Amino acid sequence: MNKKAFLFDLDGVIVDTAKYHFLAWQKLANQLGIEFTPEHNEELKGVSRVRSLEIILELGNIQASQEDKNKWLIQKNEEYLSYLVDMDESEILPGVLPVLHYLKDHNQLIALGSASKNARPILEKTGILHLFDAIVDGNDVSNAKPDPEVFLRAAQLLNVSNENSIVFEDSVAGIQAAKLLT
Amino acid sequence: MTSVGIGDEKILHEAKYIFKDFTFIDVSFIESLIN
Repeated sequence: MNKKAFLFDLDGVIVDTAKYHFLAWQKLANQLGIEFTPEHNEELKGVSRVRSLEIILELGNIQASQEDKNKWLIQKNEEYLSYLVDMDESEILPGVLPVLHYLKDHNQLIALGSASKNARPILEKTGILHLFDAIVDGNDVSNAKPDPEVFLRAAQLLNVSNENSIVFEDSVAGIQAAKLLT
Repeated sequence: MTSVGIGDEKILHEAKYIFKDFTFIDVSFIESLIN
């Protein structure tokens, strides 16, 4: 049997911090006079923080200086982080733990492949960091999904071929990234 | 890579497999991926 790698996105797959991202982006958008709905939020899933802000500004047809963009990015992240302080195992989405434990019990390799720059503290707070054999997050890659860099690096860290890697994703960009490595 | 979409099938239609959430994934599916 060939060795398999199971690669998981974080936000919206393992934990629902996607809702916290949405709330933080929505607060910033509203502050800028931009309507930001859950449907708009779908376009942000799996993409970088910087690109997410660009998408929101495009929604409001707002041209902004780099200084303002940097200020808003910090503001959004501080709002988002304020939601993470009280995270615990209860934030893990239903059905995720049985799958992770089944894979570990059957000696399968597990990695995280996420654009989040807060992946490690989130996994620590939710008590599942030890289940992951490798973590590739927003601090490790320079290209956001749908670029496949995050999954490619995760599979490489586990020394498993792309063909034998399975990606669990909740975003269109993430699915497209996996398909590029098919 | 094999893609497994978690969420709305209308949005994630490009994935090879799609589940509404992890509670819809059973052991036989994971076994099929392992094997």
